[in-house]
Amino acid sequence: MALTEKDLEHLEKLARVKLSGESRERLRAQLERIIEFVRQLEGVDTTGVEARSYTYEFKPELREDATKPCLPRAEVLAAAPAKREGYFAVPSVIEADEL
Amino acid sequence: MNDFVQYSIAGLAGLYRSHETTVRDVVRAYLDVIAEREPRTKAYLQVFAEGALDEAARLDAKGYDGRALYGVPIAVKDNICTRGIPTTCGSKILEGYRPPYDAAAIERLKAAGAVIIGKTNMDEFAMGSSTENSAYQVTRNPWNEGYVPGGSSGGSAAAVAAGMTLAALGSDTGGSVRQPASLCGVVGLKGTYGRVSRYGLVAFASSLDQIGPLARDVGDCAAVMEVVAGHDERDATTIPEPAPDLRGGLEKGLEGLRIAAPRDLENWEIETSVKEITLGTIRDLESARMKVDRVDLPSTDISIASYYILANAEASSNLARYDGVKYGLRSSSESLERMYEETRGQGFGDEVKRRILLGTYVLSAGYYDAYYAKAQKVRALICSGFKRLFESCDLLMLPTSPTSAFRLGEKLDDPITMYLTDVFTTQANIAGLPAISIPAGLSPGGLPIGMQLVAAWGEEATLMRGAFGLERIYRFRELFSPGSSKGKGRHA
Repeated sequence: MALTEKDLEHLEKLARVKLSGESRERLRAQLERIIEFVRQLEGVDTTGVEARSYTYEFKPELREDATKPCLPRAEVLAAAPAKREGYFAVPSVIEADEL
Repeated sequence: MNDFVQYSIAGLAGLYRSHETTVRDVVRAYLDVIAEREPRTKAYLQVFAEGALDEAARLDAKGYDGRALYGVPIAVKDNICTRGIPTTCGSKILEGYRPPYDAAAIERLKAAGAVIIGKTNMDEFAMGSSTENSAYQVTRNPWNEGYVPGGSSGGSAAAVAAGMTLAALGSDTGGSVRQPASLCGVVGLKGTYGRVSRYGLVAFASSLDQIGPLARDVGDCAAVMEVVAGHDERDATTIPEPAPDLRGGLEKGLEGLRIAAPRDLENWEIETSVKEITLGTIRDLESARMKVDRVDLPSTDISIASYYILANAEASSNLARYDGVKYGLRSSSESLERMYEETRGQGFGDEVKRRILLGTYVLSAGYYDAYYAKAQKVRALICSGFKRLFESCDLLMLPTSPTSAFRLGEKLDDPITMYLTDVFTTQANIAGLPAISIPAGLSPGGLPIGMQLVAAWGEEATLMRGAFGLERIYRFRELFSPGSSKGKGRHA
């Protein structure tokens, strides 16, 4: 199954990963081969089988929906690349004329 | 004085109890080995020489108190959060990140009196089978420096094999504890899914990930597992029961256990020495009047394909959190979108990008049912296949890895060949079953070969008994050690 340059651009956008020029053709060709490899599952008969996303054999208990102490804000923010007034800071999302 | 590094956990406890040594002397002995071996092995991303000696002094001041891991040096894979101490996952995107909390497994190690001696190298975000995908350094196999230690917990396995720690924690998503244990000649255990809390383990594939111990022998491995296992309300998928007793029944060994091995093993295309050691073990068991049932394995051929769909789908979602906002690297950019793309483009290595893109592909509109949903159905088939298998046996025995260690660089440019090194390990993750690798012998080239046991869901105690039984047959540690692989053990 071919993975075109256009498909790759779409995946880059969905995954928010920018590939650099030199590695992208190599990565595209490798991805194509990996997809071909995992396609062997097509041949497995799964008629009537329900999809399974977990393996535990007990019913997980939900904890009570109550507040609990959490990590101190300052300690968590300490790892942030940019912060302002006790919040994470990011490049502006809304243009000034949209306000 | 370096003799202290030969002691097991139980042996050290005896020395501490009778005041024959101090924790400081033991930690110093391990630091001496690190000073000697680490410059060439490069198993550690950080060694906590000062911190470990300070902790040792605190333990000495209090005196031996009988805690399970009092004064036991333990190394930790760098994807397990350690409060205030860099936790990089072998990635540039987390360079310098200091978690504000300890993982549940770390809390439990500390509460049991362990001394954390360093953080070990790994494939970036645990994605790889050779530790060559680390963004920081290449770890070498202590048995032969031209060879990989396996991965992704290659740093932990190499550190244990080189005597640079008594035991270590790794994480196993598709074989990442067992495969490097096999390639480095140490014991590596992955418990039942949910046995060890994943709180503070940096997520790769949440439905498959488990923290597991690596050690020189089955007894030490069991002792560490007993400490880190058990219910934790911060991980809703942990099994709601306390840690099982794993050491109590070890002496019973293989007695009375029904063992199964793959039916068509003779025809498998694997390294000759791996095949010979496996067949030799079956003969040994049979001559000891144990019955080894030859069975058809549930879906070996399709497990790798379903594993790479499921694991990478989950990874593409889990790794969305590395966006340059909350921690780690941020590449400066005018717009938020560009910042995300560039941060992730620069911060992730090639293998991580491949997997994120593959995971994104199998989850994307139009492909979800054909790949992801299909893989989940195959997972259901594999689970029920194992369930049937364990109705008529207690343990499944098969090689951990199809080969002994391969040369550095040998498989780095060929992802699928690298993925196939996990061909015997991913099933236990897909089905959530406990599995262990025990060193069985050496290849003609002097490289270790591991044997794997898999048990039914929740049956770690049976698994460890069987492993202890095999260990007594192999006598690997008595016969072999890195650098002096002479001896008359199981050479294939």
